[in-house]
Amino acid sequence: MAGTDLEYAVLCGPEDGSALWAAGRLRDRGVALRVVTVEELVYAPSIRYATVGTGVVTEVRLGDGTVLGPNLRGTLNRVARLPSAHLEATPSTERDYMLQELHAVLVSLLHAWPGVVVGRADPRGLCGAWWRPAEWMVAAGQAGLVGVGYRSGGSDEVPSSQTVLVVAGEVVTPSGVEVPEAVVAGSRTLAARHGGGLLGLDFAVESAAWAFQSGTAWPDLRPGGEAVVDALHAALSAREPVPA
Amino acid sequence: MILVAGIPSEPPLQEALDALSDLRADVVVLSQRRCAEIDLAFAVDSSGAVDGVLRIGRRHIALREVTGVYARLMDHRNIPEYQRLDVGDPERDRWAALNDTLAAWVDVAPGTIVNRSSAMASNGAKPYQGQLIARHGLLTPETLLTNDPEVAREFYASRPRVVFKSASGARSIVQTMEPGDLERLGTLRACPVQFQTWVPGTDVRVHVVGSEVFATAITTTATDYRYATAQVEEPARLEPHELDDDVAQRCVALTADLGLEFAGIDLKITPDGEVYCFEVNPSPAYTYFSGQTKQPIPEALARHLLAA
Repeated sequence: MAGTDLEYAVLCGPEDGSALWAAGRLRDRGVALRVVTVEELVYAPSIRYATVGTGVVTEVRLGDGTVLGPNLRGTLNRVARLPSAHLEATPSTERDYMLQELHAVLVSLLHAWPGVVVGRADPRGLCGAWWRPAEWMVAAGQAGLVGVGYRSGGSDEVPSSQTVLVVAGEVVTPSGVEVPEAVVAGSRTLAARHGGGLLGLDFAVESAAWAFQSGTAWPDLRPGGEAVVDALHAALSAREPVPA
Repeated sequence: MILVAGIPSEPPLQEALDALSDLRADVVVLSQRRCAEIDLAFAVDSSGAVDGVLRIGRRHIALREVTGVYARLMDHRNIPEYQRLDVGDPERDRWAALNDTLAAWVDVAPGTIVNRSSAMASNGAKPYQGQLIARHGLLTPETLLTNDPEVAREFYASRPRVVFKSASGARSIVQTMEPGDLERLGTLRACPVQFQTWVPGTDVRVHVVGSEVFATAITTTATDYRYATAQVEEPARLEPHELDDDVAQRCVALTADLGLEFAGIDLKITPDGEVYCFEVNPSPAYTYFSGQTKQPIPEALARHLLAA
């Protein structure tokens, strides 16, 4: 794909097995995507973010000439960390400043990223907001979910959990597990409030009662199997912005 | 009950405390310098409701009784009393845990919270914040973020005056780009930089407290009015300013949309009357402005906290 404008991309760290798995499964379905590592992105020869009127145009030209710009149609964003190897020799105070700057640049760039984005960046997380445990618990309650509760400075033992994934507003439930409708509806509401487009929600399940435990904007996608690939495929192929 | 948290001798907290006192408010002060005397624990129940207990010295406060919070929290690692603790002293861990718990509670506490850290996050990525500002119909300066020296060179060459500044929340001095800076563009490779077209006109700082608006005009020839004395050897002049109603309402809506109760918004009004918005400060040091103009910002803040 050297020297071409990309239409589909998966942005991730090279260690993100979950993203690489999703990229492979999407390719099997004919999506001509490229995995772009966060190192390729940050060390790209040309990063450009420019305001135009009330909008923003972004364009990144990678080392091999590949362009991630206005022709992008769909991106799965799993960027969860900043590369800092290039700053190892930099004095610590200067390095801290540069990492803050780099974070601000990536948040701004990835929030304005063209096309459909699953995992839209937020100032509190490069692939969607990372909330504190208490914040998840309060938001879950407001979304109509029953939670296991939270105590500052400690945690209670909880039974084994089930993970529910929410991809662009679609709730993907574990295969062969019956999930109460209230949990599906609450998960969808919580995802809409979060706004990132991709969530993993853990529930403690005991005697068919589901209680919200925790959430993440960087879930392991593999337990979702083909259903999560279906949801990603549909979202990335959408012509319109997808819901959270 | 109103909780005021931070460093009480800091002018913004001190003036808010004075204003709350004038209104005979029931106030509790949490000084981050006295963490040794403080405990805080809270819980979220199965429905998402928050409650807990704050101990300051011998006083125990049920968190459910706190209806408003004004927090200007410092990084505890910069507090002298913390720095005086021996490395390895378990008290250091307790200070860290206490401050973390405080920040977590402020994020989820019911009532009027000035301001939640979650709502303050946009200030850490100014171009991102600019995207939100533009949605409110306020102009934003033409902005370029790039690590590409050629792109930066072209931006500079095609505009009469360009400034550069930090993109993050890190404090930096806005600088006008000079021909000599072109030689340094190679350093962009390590980290992209934010460039903006310089906008001529009058700086106006707008403080929004809930739905109340206080605008202050700043007159200076400096590129960055905060550093006017250093840049042009003359301090900036501050005066109350009558803001256009439409602009004032946009500022109120922007503040609310960001989830903020109190904000300091930096505008510039051009000679043609166009209004540009540069950024929204979620923890404004408002006393710099109210001290010179006598605008009743602390009184408005106190009223807003009590209105919960």
